Amino acid sequence: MSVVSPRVLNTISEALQVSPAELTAESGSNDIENWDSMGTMNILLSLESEFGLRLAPGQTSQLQSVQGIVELLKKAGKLE
Amino acid sequence: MTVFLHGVTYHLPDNVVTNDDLVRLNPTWDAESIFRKTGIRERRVAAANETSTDFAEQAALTLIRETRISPDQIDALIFCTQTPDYLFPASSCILHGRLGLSSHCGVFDFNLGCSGFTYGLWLSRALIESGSARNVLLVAGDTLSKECGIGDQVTIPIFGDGAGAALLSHQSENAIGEIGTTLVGTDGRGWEHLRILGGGSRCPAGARQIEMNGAEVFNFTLTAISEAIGQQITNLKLTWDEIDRFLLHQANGFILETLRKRMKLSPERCPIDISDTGNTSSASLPVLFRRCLDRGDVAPGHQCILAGYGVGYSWAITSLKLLKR
Repeated sequence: MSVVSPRVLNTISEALQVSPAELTAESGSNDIENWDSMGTMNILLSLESEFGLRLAPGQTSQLQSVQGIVELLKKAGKLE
Repeated sequence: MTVFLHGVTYHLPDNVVTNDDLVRLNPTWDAESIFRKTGIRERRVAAANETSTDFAEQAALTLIRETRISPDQIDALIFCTQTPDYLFPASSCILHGRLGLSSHCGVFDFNLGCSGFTYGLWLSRALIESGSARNVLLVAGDTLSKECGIGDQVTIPIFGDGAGAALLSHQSENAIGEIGTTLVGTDGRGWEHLRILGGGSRCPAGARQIEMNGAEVFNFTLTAISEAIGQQITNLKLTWDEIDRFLLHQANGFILETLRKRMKLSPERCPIDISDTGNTSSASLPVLFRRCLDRGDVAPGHQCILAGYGVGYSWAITSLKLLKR
């Protein structure tokens, strides 16, 4: 199992209003009830305020899983 | 040439559907959760035998009565709708007959959604400025509640129905405002994120229901619309502080709150008024505008920005100055 930065997990958990303990590197919108359309929009806003990440058109599909979000952040140079 | 606004009004269906009504039909839904996510408590929904043309007719009749224009003085009728009565004829032709307009009146429909009213202001102003028309009746309306998929938790809570109408003229007498320029924009790469595929020529037998990628539409709105509004303010050689009111298409409460926060605007300058109507698509701006006028939230002397944005993607940002009486 890959390790995800606590900062990323905390950002997602706050956006979804769930405990960070509920999230793992493998979590996604199918596993968390609050990770619906609204939850995804909250994640988008939280990633912008916490990491300065702005998404290009077509990239929001990657907001459906922790792994996708990590990849987005790495690709944008916001995460090592 | 200055183009004047003589009136704006709207018509909503009588049938009210509350969040509790939605929960009765969809027992796994939660009424408070719907409100929290959308800012909507109830919406007006067309009956099976009602169409956007019916609501447009009612709005137009009210406007004609209020502005006291003679129908034979209207020399152009523009109808923005995504939910016409038929593939053809154009709904504007049907409406022309019902309103008893002159045979010299030019009419046409155009198909845009939430940017449609301000796009229509752009078109109307151009017709008058060019000398092609003196008085233009602009109507915009949709019945998107009929296009939501059965049990669709994304679209059913959001969309309501209705129509709005505005009268623009070359004449200044009895005018309530001056219509300024409109900044229009399109990003056709985003068309797939908000669509109805069924019923058109490419998918004639496909499902006729709204498909919406909420996160993509949200991302577009946040990035493109505040920038477009800023660009229009620059084009007008004004500052943000010199705009008294920002009237935005009432998409949903969450998007509007986020946009308002991003643009650092107070609730007074950027009203949100969606809780009892839902998102009425192209009708939302005339509904908001008229309700603000009636409440005195928008007043003579105010410099306003009207911003329509949505399906396409498409946007149109219009400046409007209310005249002092």
